[in-house]
Amino acid sequence: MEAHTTELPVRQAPKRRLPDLGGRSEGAVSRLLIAPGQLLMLFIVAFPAAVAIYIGFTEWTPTSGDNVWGAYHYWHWFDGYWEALRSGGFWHSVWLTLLITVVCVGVEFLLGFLLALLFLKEFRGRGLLTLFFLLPMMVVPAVSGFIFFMLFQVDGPVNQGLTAILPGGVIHVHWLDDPSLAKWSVMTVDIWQWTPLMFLILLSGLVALPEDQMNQARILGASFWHQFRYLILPMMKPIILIALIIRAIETFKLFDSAFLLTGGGPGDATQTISVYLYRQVIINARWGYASAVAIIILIFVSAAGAFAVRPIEQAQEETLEGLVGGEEQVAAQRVEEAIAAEARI
Amino acid sequence: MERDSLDGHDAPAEEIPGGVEKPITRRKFVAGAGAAGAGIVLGSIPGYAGAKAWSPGSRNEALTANGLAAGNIGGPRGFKGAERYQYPANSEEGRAILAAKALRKAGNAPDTLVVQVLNFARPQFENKFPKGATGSIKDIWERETGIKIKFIETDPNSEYQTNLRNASTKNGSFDLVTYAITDTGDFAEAGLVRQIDDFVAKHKPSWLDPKYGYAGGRATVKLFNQYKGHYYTVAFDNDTQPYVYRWDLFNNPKEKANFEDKYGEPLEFPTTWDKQAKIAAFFTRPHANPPLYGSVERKVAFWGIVNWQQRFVCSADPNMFYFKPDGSANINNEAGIRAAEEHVRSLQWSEPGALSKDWLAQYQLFGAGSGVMGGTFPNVTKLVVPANKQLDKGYGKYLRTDVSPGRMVNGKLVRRPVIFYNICYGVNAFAPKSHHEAAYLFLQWAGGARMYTYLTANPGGYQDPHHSYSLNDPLVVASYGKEPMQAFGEIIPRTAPPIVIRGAAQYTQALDEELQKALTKQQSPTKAIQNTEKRWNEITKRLGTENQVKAIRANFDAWPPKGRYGPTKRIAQA
Repeated sequence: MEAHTTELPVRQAPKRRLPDLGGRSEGAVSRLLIAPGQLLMLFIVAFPAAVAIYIGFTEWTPTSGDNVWGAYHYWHWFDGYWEALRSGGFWHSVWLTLLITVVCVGVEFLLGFLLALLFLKEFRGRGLLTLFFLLPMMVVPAVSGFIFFMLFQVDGPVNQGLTAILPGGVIHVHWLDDPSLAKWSVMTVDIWQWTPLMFLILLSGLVALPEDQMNQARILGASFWHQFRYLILPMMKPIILIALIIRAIETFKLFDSAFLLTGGGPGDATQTISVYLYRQVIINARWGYASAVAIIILIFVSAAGAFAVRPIEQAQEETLEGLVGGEEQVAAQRVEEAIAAEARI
Repeated sequence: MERDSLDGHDAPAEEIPGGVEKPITRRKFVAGAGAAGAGIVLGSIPGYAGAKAWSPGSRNEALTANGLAAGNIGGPRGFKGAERYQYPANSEEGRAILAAKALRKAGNAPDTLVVQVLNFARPQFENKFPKGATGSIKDIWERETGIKIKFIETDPNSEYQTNLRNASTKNGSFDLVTYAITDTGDFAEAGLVRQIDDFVAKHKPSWLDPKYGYAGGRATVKLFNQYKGHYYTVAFDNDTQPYVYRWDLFNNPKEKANFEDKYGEPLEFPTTWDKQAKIAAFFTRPHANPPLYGSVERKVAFWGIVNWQQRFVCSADPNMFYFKPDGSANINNEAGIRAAEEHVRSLQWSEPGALSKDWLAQYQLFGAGSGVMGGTFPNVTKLVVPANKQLDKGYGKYLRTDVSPGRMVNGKLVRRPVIFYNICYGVNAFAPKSHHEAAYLFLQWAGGARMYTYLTANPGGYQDPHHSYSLNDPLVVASYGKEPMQAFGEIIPRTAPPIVIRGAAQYTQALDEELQKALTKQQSPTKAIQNTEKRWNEITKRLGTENQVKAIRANFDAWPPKGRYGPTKRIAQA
């Protein structure tokens, strides 16, 4: 009997018929084909950035009488950058924005995670309640800003409600006039509006967790805290980081609620970096200086973003390792099956 | 100089029935007029035998078949009294119409003028008013010149931003620009608003005419229409700030007696800020029904700055200026600090939440009977709604208007209202050059005494009257009330300008921010003024001291002149 070979015939891929490229290489044609898209992207991204960098080196303003191309008449190199870095107003806005970002994102995360854990289990009316909790996110920020502007008036519904339930006569809390309370009012709007997003992202992450491992842990008697600490949190790490980064970036740009509630005031008490830029551009017409500030912020946010992305990459690597491990298991199982099949033969 | 051509003496005589101060010109007109027209003219000349005071009815009898009074070439028609707004050929409106027609005939005018307009100002151009009128102001212009008008809307909150963008892109897609008075410097320097000295000299608007000109004469014309001594703007508003007060409370015998017992002086409208403070404290009764707040000045960011301004500008005779002639800030002194301290102190007599409420809330307070007094806008008289049933309905019964309080300076009482926003129009320099003159002519026509009176009589918009001719007009009086119109005549001439130099928004914003910090106890009033001085000097240096000084010195001419205005008639009566 002839020895039976298990070697399968190698199937050659059919040779592609390339069109006539006019003597150009395939690579050159590929580059030509993607060039329009690349150029468009370059125009959309690089052109405005280049203009902002250019204006940032000048003290140009539209009220100077020159258009933007004549901004070089007001060239002053890094003066705008130095002015910003020496400006108390700029640093006040940066620190305030950081404070708002840390508080808002922190509270949104805690509330969002808590809600997501509550909504993980099936209960009656869960769908309707989910929709209800997501509603604030669907409100146009300008509308939510205006709604809270009305609510927080000294003689508005919030104070009227407090007056109704608390003793001691009419309560006049200055939610928007008091420098400290105004900050918290602005943060309240952001938390109200964007906790649902955090909730949504985290809930989708929790739902996607492998159920068998959770069940195993439960069967083996792990407490909820242990499940949360050793299973949910590690497995949710990439999702949590993404949610935190998305919200941190968005909150750092906070404008609507601060502008609509207080206009950045009283004074500069709620002047976030976006409101600061708005005031420089729209009220002071200092487009050159505002561009310099914008570039500083861009550099700062990019650096912070790069730093923040590192844990995600680490988490991704861990996840990939896990996946690779899983593939090995699958491969080992297949090997065993292959051996068993061989034996049958 | 060209701008001197617009002078009371050089301005062309107003040759219309009933409204002239030059007898020779009037006689010339009478000689050339038809019998009906002559009759009206004679009847209107003061002192003419048998002549009675002018009345719309008597004029209507002389209307010709086309609805125009004899001698007039155009204007509104179709309603009783329309002839008050009609114009003869030799009037500012008549000259504008004839010149626009000539331009059009020569092919030097566009088919359509594109006019940027504030949303709330637009109805006064487009709505037919009053009942029976054959067309709106827009219709009249189009009918008489053949040049169409197309409006593009903006609003007060985005107008500055929009026009900064227009300046940066040299946008010439529209012919007339609208902006606030304080933006004039920025947009003139940006090249967006064209200097119109040449058109003013050529077409001779009657802005300085004693009858048809601006109430307040030369200083008001400079304040409303000039920048750096040149014409750039035609004003379409009067946002000089009247001082509104509860007339019924001030004349209540019980209140009068109580006040006199407490302060040893009579309760009457406060002519000084010191007295204003006493009355504000006296009337502040937050637990009354309705609650009373003695001083409902606006305190909120942006809108509230006028309260500091009106306390500051009256601190010297004739005025306290914001800048010194060398361009440096002139506020870190007793006048500036005192104004800031008073501004902050008066918060205790304001309603709760005053720091986050704008003019609309102020109107609401007056309507509810809770506002005892405060500086506000002229249109309060037509917009305030007496929601409180205990009050007499209608402005002028429980609310009345006066010139804002002032200070005794060297034994003389100085009272200076201020102006805030004030809608302006200018010719867009980036529009095709062939459009410029026609665009200006539209402004001269619609901003002329007769047409502008007609425009402001229309209650559909917020553009307020500032011509002497408007102050006694029956339709304007019907819209604003008789009592406030008398007050406007006293307020406009005494009004101190805002900061009308390049970067005005920056200066104002700096002051506003620092005052807001003082109002919310983040810093003392003194510190607020010191910081503002520092910021103002930095802005001046950055924008170029030399250029700013030119504008500042030209701006001095727009301030109420020394010795011209004594006590107001109303105060003299008191």
